[in-house]
Amino acid sequence: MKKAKSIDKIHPPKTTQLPKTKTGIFGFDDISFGLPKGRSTLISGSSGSGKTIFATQFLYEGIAQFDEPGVFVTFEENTADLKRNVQSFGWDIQRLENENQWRFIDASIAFENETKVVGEYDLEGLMIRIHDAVKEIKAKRIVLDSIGSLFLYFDDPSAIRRELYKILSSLKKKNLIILLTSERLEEYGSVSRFGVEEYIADNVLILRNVLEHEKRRRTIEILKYRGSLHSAGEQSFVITAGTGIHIIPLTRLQLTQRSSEERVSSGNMPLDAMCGGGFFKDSILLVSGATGTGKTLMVTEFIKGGFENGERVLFLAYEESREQLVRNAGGWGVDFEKMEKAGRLKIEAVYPESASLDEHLLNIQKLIDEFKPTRFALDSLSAIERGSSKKNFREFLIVLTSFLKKREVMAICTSTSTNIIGGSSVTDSHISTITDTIVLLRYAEVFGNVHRVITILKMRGSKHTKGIYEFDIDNEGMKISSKEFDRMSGILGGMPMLTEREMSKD
Amino acid sequence: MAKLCFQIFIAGKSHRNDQLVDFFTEACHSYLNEGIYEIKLIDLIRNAPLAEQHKILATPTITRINPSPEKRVIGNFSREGAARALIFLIEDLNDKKYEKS
Repeated sequence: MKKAKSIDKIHPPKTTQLPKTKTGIFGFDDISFGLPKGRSTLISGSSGSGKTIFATQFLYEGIAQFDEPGVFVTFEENTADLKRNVQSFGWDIQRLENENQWRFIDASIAFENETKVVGEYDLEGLMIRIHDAVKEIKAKRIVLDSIGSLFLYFDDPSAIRRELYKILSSLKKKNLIILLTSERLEEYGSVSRFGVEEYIADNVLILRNVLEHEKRRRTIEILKYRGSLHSAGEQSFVITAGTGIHIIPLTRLQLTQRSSEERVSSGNMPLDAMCGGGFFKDSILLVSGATGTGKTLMVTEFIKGGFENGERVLFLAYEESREQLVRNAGGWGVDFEKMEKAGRLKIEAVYPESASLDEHLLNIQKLIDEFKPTRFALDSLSAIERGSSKKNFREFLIVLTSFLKKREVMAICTSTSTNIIGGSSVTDSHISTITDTIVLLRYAEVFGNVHRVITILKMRGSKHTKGIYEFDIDNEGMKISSKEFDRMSGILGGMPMLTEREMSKD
Repeated sequence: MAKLCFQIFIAGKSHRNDQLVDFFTEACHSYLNEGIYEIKLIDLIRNAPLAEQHKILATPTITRINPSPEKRVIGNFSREGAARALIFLIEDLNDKKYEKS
């Protein structure tokens, strides 16, 4: 992607670039800049990879968003099934048919056993039907789903290729945007089943649906895009009931977010002081600590701070139930229920294994766009990270944080370190580099007593105290001591040692 | 008894299409009793909606639409091929009344 971007800068898109039309499929236009008119694009994918949904959505959004009527030629599924299958996405195709915006051409082989090919033929019949429909509704988009069936049925691939070529070139002359689909048998193998489909089309997209860490991950890849800029590599997408296909364009995300100088309270006065006067308004904060060190407490105080400041707060909990959270907060003197009644707090407790990372991400984005919070709390990243690959989790974080910054939402995320004492894992570099502020909570043991300590490891663009402070938890929340904790050294490194002064007390 | 009904779908006038119609008519004439069958010629170029109505993909296509079930042959044929195509179209009928003895 970096490469493509730099090319973009040297040769800004000129007239040589084909005029492209936005598809209206969420995220797809970000990675492809849309599809060109008068060109054909092949979508290849294994069974269940979402080809037909993509194709249907392409026509549907064309009508819904851009007033571009479309023709759907189906070689496989009958039209009644197709219409029924996409109803769950909220696409009322029957209505579009009635309004002369959508036409189906049922090119499925109706009399399979009763039909015999005896000699040379052409697909003139199909061509006439297509052109009739295109003319009738003044179609701008057309889908042929899926051309593989033709190859399967008429066993002379070169004839089918020639005939398809004829149909496509006549459609190109009419400047339609053409989408073809075809099956492939393996996720990482030859592009298409019969090995010729991809040569018919100008552009090739591949949809994949692969099992990764016991979860399905869907991706789209732009394999070939004649004379055009596009994002390279696989991009994640999800299929949801509300929106259909939703591509998460990772590689085109740019760090264009502004950063705010304005500070707001963390909800804890001594902590504000440690940070040099509070957190930055659109910063992302990571709290890392072992279990029981007070991460959820910090989140609770962050929520309280937001509420008292008159803000709206969204709280996503992946580790505890609503009831537990409300009760715990009550124990620290924070009344979540009152905040919810006031309409400025929304708590969503989600079971982390209930969805894939992409689905979690989409859910978060949806909640943020609906509730429009100015503060967002997530407890904990570690729960989400379980059962996902490092690469996917890193992508999830990058997309999430850049989304939060774009919406100018201040966020707190927690991460559980595996070691009880000390602890190396602020997990691990990839979380820490994209957060603005990192707060560490640690246990320290002094002569058989366990103390809790807090320190600010990093804070972008601000002075902050470098010291380690002890804190207590009581029914009013977190009490950070004003004195530095100097009884031990090496707490952060995971090798705590009593300081000399402490030793000499003996 | 219902008549045997054939439809020949072609796309436009051409020598080949004329020949196809001739060969098929000849085959019917020599294998079937007179008055028991009819042949309709449909040029899709002038009758586009009929292509949609009968779900025609390829041309030429010959269909037997009566009696049901519908049967189809696709593609061009020679004089001998026409006979084979006709036999395929009526072989399931098991009704000697159609055929010349």
